[in-house]
Amino acid sequence: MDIRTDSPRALEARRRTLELILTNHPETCVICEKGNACQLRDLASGMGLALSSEKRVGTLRGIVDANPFIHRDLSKCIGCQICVRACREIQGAEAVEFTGISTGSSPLTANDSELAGSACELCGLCVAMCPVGALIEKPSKHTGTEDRRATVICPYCGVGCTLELRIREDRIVGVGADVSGSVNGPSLCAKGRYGLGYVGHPDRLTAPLVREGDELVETSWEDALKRFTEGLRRITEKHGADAVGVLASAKATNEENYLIQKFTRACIGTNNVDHCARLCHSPTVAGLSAAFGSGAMTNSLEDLAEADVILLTGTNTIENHPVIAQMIKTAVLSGGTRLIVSDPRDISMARYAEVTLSPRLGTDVAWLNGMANVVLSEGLADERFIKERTEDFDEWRASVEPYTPELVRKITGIKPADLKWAARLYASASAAAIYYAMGITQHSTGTDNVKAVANLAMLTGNIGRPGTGVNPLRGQNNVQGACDVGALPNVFPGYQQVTDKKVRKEFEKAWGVKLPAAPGLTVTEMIEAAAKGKLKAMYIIGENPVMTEPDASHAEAALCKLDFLVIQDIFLTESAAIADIVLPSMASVEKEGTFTNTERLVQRSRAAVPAPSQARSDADIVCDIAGLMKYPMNYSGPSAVMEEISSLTPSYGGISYSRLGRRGLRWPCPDSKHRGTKILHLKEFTRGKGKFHPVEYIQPAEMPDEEYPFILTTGRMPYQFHAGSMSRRSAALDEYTPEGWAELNPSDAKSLGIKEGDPIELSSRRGTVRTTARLSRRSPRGAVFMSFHFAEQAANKLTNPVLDKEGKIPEFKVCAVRVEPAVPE
Amino acid sequence: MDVRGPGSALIERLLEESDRKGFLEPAAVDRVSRELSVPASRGYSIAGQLEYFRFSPSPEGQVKICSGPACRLAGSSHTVQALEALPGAGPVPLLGSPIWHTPILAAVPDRKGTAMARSVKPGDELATADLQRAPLATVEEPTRELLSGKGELLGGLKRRRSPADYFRSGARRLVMFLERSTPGETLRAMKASRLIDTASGHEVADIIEDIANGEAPSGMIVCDTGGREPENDTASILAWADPMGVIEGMLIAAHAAGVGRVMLFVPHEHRGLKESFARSIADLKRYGLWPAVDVEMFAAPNFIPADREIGIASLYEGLTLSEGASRAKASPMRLWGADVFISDPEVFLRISKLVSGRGKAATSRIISVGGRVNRPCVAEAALTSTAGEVISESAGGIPDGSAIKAVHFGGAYGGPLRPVALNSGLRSLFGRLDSAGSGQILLIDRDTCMVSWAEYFAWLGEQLCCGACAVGRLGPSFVRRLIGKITSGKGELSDLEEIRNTIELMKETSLCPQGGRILNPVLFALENFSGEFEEHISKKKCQAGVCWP
Ligand code: SF4
Ligand code: SF4
Ligand code: SF4
Ligand code: SF4
Repeated sequence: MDIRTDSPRALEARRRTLELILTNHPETCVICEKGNACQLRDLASGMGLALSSEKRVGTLRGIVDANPFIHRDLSKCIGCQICVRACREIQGAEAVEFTGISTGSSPLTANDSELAGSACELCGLCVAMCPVGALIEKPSKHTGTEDRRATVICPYCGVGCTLELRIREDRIVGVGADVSGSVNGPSLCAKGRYGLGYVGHPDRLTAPLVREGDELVETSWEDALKRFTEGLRRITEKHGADAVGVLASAKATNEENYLIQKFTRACIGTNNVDHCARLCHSPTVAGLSAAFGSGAMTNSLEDLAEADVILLTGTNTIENHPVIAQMIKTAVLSGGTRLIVSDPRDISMARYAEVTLSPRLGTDVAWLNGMANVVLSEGLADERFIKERTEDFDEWRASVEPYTPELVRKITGIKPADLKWAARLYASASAAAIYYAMGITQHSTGTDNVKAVANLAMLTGNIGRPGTGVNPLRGQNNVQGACDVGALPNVFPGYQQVTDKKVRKEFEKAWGVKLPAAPGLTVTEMIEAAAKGKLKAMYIIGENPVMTEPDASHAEAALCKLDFLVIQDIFLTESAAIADIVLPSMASVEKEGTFTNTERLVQRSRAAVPAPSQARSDADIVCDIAGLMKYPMNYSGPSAVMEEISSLTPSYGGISYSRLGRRGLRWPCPDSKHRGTKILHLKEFTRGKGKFHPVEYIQPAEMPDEEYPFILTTGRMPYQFHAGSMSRRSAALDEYTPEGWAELNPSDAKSLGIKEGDPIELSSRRGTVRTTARLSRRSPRGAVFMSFHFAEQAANKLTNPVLDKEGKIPEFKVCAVRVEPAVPE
Repeated sequence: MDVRGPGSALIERLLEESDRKGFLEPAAVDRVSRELSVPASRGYSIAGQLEYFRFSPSPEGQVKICSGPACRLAGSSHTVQALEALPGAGPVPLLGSPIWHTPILAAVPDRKGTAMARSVKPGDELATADLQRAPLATVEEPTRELLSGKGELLGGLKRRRSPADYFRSGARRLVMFLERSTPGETLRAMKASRLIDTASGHEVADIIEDIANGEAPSGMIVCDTGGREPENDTASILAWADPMGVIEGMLIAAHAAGVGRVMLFVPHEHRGLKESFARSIADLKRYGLWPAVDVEMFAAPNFIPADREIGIASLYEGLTLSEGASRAKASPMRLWGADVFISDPEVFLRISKLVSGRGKAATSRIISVGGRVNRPCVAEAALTSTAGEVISESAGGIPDGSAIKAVHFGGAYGGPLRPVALNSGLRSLFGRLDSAGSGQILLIDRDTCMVSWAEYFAWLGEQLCCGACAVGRLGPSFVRRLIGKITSGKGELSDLEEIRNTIELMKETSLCPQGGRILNPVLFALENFSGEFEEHISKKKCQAGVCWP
């Protein structure tokens, strides 16, 4: 075949088509924000076509500009439909379609509504791909062309997307994706793309602060660190090392977390180190370690699309792990994967599901056992897998026998037919994967829930193959890494128990000091100990317990009781405001280091922009304090820290900066020849045999009663993050959702006389919060949903601090509340 | 077996919602989409590409005007003007929906359906009451006078053959035929007839053979009973006149191709046709006739702004027109994972003649005649006859005193020729079109300005392109702007070159066949009436006195 793309005829056709396109294009090139990046302008000038001509008469359309992310001027649309295809084929949102005919055709949302509020997820992919100025990133408007680019790992969620920062004069002017080898390809979510405004925010801490009476005043680093070491010494000398607690950070790098836990153990001499993983996935670590021997995601995102069936539960993936949601949606839309969604709320992912289960809040063990019951009674179990690769099956089998579909209906409200359908679909797939998040873990039965998930996967042999597995989705960008490198009270790096003498010996040798043998306190235990006056000092890095702890008022009071509180953060958070010393640290994009994403992938992130004024990296600060405390911790840089990590952490044994490259490495990566592990438990489980654990349904600790008749469940919203310290300081994100709300079912609202937008008051046994009502059928009757990002309406003043026995996670997902109309202010 | 996909259900549900309220509410789009698990943007997009759907309530007593060429010739634009001059009248929407091909212009919805009123002359005044009085015809039924001719297809059709008639007399013959002939034999008989598919210009037997030997796991035979012209002519009349004959032809084609599915596309607006086919399909089932093939009906708005085959297939699949257009088109079309043959009632009625052993080469063609003739009609004419003969024999000749200046043939895909064309035989006349031109002949007299006529077709082209490809999206409107320059006295000679180049470009690069032929009428006008164009440009003169006196 002879195909020519440059024959005179082809060139002429191209030139004329371009000319034709220009006839319908408004003459706005000079003031168009697309500027040099416009492909139309580029092609036209390349072909010698005038940018100004009397033939140019654009079809003018009004500019609808109601969201802070995307500026849409369809007058400039050339109808290439790239946005439509991107939205459908890559993003899987199918929010825009080519609508109308002839010159009137353009990419529109359903009913031509504004992007925000439509099915659009404001991911910005279409904007990044639009060849002309029809779609423009608003936050980057009027910022000019970048003078350099740098790649970093997204500072928000655990997906670990690679961001390509566009930088001009050391300021971030835009964010793109599509870096080869990245987890996310061309995709990002609104947070990653539009949420870096916090980096250059004027609120950034630029100098150390120390308390003088009621005030925090600026001081020098020298003075601050001196006071820090003195404070620590005073406490440890008087009350012992265990009177100090340290919170590491799921936002800091692996190297920094390693240094923090090393500092805590070796320099202070306590195992009281923990971080926010406690509040999200500690049941995962507990439950999966017990069942499989490893608490991490068994498979990798690369093989997600190989699943014939995906069971999603307790994850509002589209809103919280948008780029993983994107992978799932496209897998479903391409016809290769069928989806089961089980969630008490009617989440957006339900549209893609073949079966949707809506269990009552806090009834996960019941329906998961019920699925297993159906699989067994219908003979769909994988006998061979059970026999060869698992143990304790018979005992477990007996435990699920009572969970007939009928009983499950009584407990969960799920129709038996739906339960059976879901069970059959999951069990008969040749590869079925389970993905879950905090909807499973944040319960007083969190570890049981995780075990029930693991049981179901083992029962059907869906472990150790591509497209299968039990896959917890981690919340923060380095929560996996912080756990891996030992920022936990009971384990050293690589999940090696502090109680194990042999292990301890090894670390004592490496670190050159005697190490404490007893496991330390968890986050929640530290707060409790502080409240009781047993814990005297805390060093908190990049966390904000006043916002994130359950029963937050209690947590605040506990922190106030400490003799000595040091907070190290990039902003003066709610917790920092009550500290004795506040140390300004670097944002992740300002420093070099590695992050480990939800699928165990260790990736490098670069220092892209300079830190403001005196802010320093967590690593430098910790090492300096250690030095002042006569425990020198000197490293030539993060890569040297990684060398130490790999020498002490078998699963990171083969990881070094020189090997990470663009693609990173997935642990376990035991030696320098090993290419990383995509799928865990291939031939055998990490613990040898997979262990079935009988688990029984226990109802949530606090159930609705007459006084508190509703169930409150908490979670995230897509355009804010965690305690909001970053997202609320990113102008676009905060403009879009400047305040929180409580979501109520319309029929509940009606019976309470509450209308959309009314001020309401939510009260639990622990506190009262004032917020606004949003009515939506997404929340089932009897349930109220609230996010925890907003200090003014801190949902965690209401939540129940009751803990899961093993994982020690508080029951964020269920507590009883009362809802009342509030008097307008 | 119900073989309908979610796509056809989508259109059906949208129509249901829209017909209930008179327009499509946003909530209804959301509801229907959710019900069928399609994205709401798609539901909206599909509705948004079809003129049938409105998204806000329309005012009471709405009048629609046919925008097809025959009605245009008869003065639809004047009717629009007259209507818009009525006190309290808003802009009058143009309707490219099924209306019998005659110069019947205004369609007024009433309880019985949509009634038509006669057109008005330039400068005539019109009262709303005039429109509601004494309709000439309804969309449900053509007037008897409209059918003319004695040929093979129309000859016996002075009276409509109802399904009941068919089951009394014809059904047995079909069963015997299908039982006796193997698919191969049926195909051979088809080959012998050398029947041409009016849609593609290929021999029907070749397409069927491709399906029979094709790699696709299944195939489908589709009859488009709407029609390729906006004002819809011969197809709906033939389908209305002999629904079972059409189905019979489809069953035979399915037998020859070895496929198990046939689908009738019926314009949703055409209630009579829908009922008639529904009855036919029910009877077919009741009598258990040829259960080897599933017969289904799919109704969607008839005015589809895209290539018809692609349009029907897209709507059936629940795709937007633009999405359908971007799929590769081959003959037979590969759709729904199947090889598909789409043609019109004329072709299937001819195939049905195989039953009676009359599988000879087609010697006639169904023609619709309009414009300056005494009696607009739908006629069957021998291919050997000339256009002039058809007009004098079937359409009552030309009104006294009319001076014919052009003969427009082939509808929206054809174009105007000089009057000498009246002496050409039909075969050579229609042979001038690559494909798909309808059997329409319109006589144009001196009152019509050929430049405005071309401008009108450029406008029609805009209404008939989905916009998926750059040239289809922008070409017609650019050409209309250039002709508009000429009709408003600002034209330059170089504009003519630009028009030609643009149409050429469309032919070369359009995504679907529509773009390649939709401006044929402009090209024909430029070729045959260049003098008139040049006169407009250089002398600012319009012989017909349309552009300026
Ligand atoms: S990508 Fe841009 S130019 Fe292309 S259709 Fe979308 S909005 Fe229009
Ligand atoms: S922003 Fe993302 S979800 Fe929204 S239309 Fe563009 S691609 Fe689709
Ligand atoms: S999905 Fe997560 S990692 Fe990716 S851009 Fe969004 S917040 Fe960042
Ligand atoms: S030629 Fe292009 S614009 Fe016209 S109908 Fe075909 S695809 Fe659509």
